[in-house]
Amino acid sequence: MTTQALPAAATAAEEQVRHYTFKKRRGPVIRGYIGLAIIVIWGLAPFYWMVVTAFRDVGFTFDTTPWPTHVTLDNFRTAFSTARGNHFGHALVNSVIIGVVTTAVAMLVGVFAAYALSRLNFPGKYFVLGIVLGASMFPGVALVSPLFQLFSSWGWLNGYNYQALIIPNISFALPLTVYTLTAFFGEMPWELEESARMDGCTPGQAFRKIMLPLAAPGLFTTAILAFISSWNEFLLSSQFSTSKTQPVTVAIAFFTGAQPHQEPYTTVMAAATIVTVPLIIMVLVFQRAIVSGLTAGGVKG
Amino acid sequence: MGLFNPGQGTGDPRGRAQRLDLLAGILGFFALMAFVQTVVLEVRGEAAGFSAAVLAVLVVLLWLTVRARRRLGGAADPP
Repeated sequence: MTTQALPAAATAAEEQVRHYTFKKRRGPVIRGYIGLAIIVIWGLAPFYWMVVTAFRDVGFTFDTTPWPTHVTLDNFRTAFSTARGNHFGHALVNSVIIGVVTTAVAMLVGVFAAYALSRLNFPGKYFVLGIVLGASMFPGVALVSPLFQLFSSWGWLNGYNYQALIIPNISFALPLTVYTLTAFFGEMPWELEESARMDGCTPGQAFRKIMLPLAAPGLFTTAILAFISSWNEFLLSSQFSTSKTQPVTVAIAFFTGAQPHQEPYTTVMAAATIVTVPLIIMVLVFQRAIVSGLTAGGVKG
Repeated sequence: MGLFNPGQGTGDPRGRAQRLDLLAGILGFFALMAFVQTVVLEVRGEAAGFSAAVLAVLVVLLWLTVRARRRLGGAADPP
């Protein structure tokens, strides 16, 4: 009888402790959730308003009703229409080309640079890291004028010269890639590489077959960051793009309304909604690859 | 602590040396940019006073950083 009563008493005591702990921590937990809710609403409110306006009839552009009213798909049709000289569909393709090439080149170079910076000990390693950080701090607007003159003299500011947009984008995506990946590689367990070397792998094989697959979450996250930075880039694209290489950010800025000097807000919001969708899809697709704790348990002593 | 803020708050001379290396890299990059701009402006015969002043400030800061780093010796060098 005592053996049955003891666990029951222990369970009741545990339950009491748990209840007391929850009551004690309830205030901070509720405050935490309220804080989170404010941050989420603060962050998502502009996107919500963008979607609401995108689906609203053009005659009710400035309607302040907080939920969707006068719902229509006309704005999306207008965004893709070429009747007013807009080429939004073509601009979407351009943005994908520029974003994919920029991300691919930045990742290809960035992975090796970051691996060397985090793995190798050589004099001036932190000096090189400082240069990378300095490059990422460099203001883009300072590059507009000299690059415009340079590209103009090379004849890159006409026709299908995507390199005029890709090269400046890489110069900003690469430092971001290098220092994000350097921090990520720095956290990886090097014992795995050493084990691979012990098993007969060359340094290249250890990197390619062991470290790179383990670094997949970091690689995907960095690739997404690089792609987003390229996808959202406006300043340089507005100067170096032609009517044939215009990315979406520039195409939206040059949208024209039905009347002269009329700003087509609803069409702009519809286009902005379309532009946001690929980013959301990409994050959802790569979310499967970003498996947290992939390296957890990889090293057991 | 971490790769970009090595040895923070530990008083470790090695961490301090690494931080100074990092700072020297950032200042060196901007000093190089200011140098290129100053040279271009001078060669073109345009007003380069402000650019040269910025370059001078960056060079002085870089020199102070390098001097502080040299006083620490090879503390941040690989073992």
